[in-house]
Amino acid sequence: MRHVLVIVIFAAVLGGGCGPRPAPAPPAPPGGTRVVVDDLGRRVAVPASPRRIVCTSPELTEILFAVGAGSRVVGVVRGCDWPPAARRLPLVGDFSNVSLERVAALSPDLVLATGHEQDRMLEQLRPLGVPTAAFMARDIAGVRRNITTVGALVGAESNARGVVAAFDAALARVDAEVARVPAGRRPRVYLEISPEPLMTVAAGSFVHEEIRRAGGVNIGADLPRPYCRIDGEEVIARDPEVIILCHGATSPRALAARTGWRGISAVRAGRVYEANPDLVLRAGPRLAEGVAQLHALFYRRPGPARPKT
Amino acid sequence: MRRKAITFTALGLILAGVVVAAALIGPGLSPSASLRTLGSAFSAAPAPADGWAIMAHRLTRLAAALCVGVALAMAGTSLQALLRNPLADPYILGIAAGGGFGAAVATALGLGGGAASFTAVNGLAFLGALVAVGAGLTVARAAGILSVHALLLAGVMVGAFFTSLILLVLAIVPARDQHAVFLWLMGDLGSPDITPLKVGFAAAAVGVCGFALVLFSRALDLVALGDEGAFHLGLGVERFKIFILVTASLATAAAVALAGPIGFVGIVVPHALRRIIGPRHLPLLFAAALGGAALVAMGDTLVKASADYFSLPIVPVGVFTALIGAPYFLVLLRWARS
Repeated sequence: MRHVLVIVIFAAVLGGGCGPRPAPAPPAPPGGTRVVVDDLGRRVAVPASPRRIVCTSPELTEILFAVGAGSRVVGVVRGCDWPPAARRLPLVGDFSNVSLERVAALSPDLVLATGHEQDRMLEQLRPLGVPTAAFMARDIAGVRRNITTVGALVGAESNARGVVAAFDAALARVDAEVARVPAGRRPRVYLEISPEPLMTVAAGSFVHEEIRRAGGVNIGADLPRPYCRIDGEEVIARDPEVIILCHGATSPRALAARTGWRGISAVRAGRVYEANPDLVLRAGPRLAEGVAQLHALFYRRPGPARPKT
Repeated sequence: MRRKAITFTALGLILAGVVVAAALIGPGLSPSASLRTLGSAFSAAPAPADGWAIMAHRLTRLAAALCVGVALAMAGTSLQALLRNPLADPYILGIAAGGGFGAAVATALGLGGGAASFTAVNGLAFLGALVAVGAGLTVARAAGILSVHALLLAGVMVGAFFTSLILLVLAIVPARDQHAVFLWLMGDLGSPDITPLKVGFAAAAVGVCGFALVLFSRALDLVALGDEGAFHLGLGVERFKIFILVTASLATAAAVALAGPIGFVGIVVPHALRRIIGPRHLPLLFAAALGGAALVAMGDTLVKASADYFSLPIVPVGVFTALIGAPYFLVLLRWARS
């Protein structure tokens, strides 16, 4: 009993001494605050011109830098590796494991996060009193919108307009090329986002839209979930003409060694390629480059007839 | 005698049925097209396009399932005799955790994926499994005597240690690698990286170990009676116990290296069959091999079919075997007590 008492007292002392303090008042923002509605449907009051931003998502970090607000980013998570300047910023943790203490220590006046998988972290941040906003893209239009919204959020509207214009121009160049290919001549594409488990993308993901936009026909379009497991057997049966490896864990050569995969049209024709996951799977400004890369791979002249083993 | 004959006939029929179902069911090729493909081997009729590629994929997976089932059930049978404990399973000495740590390290170092030959995941999983057993064995063996109690305790501790190492790896690798490690820990036969060559290696190891266990089945009977009984019967008990342990562990490690630790097969199958056909290990080992092969292949076919026909998510077979294995065991316990 006495032990329990001691523990209770100890805990009380500890709690009183080191518990969460009242949130440090963020530096009074010039121009006051305004209210925005983020992609989780929350109305959040953010400073009119945030000066200390913590960003917990790689694609939003890319957007911040692209609209010229990079110098106001004071903290990121591991994986925020573009542009190179972002790598030198203090880390507040991993994408799925953000340290609230480190966030607090940077005394940000805005935390930007993605709504995918980070909604709980945002809840935990609430007691710190730091404004948070979450943005996530489900399609290419969503990526454009996020660039515009985040640009507006940091008061860089005109820069954001420039970024969106470049984004649109890059996509338009691909669109023009694709428009010349008759619908029946577009290759069936299998795009692999993970080898273990074997996963691809289906309708409802922005990656599916990228494949379509780049002039391919996604063989996984009808799978039940936007990011979905697929049986190896099914890939063989759907016989893609192009295979895109978008994870860096498997080489085209290793893929050809998978049981029964050697007969797939793409493997026989040497049309198994690796694409840069940072361009294709990141809903940021470089997504247009990703689409252009996919387009180039879809219509690249086939390599050697049979990959050497 | 009749009871044994009936049991073996039933097991044979079940296994045959499961093998046929596994060969015909899959998302890539309808059962009739699968049948036509297989038929084309024996007649002039042409196989459907991609037919053989898909069948190669499917039959490799089936062969892996059978191999894993045989290994786990035979190893479980032997370890239950050796440890004189109906709760013993092939993983009780930390093999699953050791193998899991090996696979996790391979994944974390970016050595996962790839089918060319034995990949780092297979190799390190095998190595990890053997290190775990070796550690337990070293601790439990003193002055030439292998203490069963010490072996169990050491095994549980070695398992706990490797489990914490797995958690450590999981805590520091990126989310993508976490998924791969988790999937491996569940026990999955769906990887396209399971090639005929790998299955062949595993099958060879399991075959040799299984044969050795069958050869020494009489001795297993004696060991199951207890050290003293075996000693009085003139058996070189200590050497023999280590031989059984190493053989069963090698078979288990081969299975784990191939498909990850598929759970409950090695505990449920021997346990159930021992109740039906009695404690003699010669028939028991054979029955367990049939039953284990049938259970894993059936589980894998069911998870495949459920994903295919009902658009359910693809579930690793290990989840399924644990899902039916644990309740079965509880029911059995309740019956045995009433």
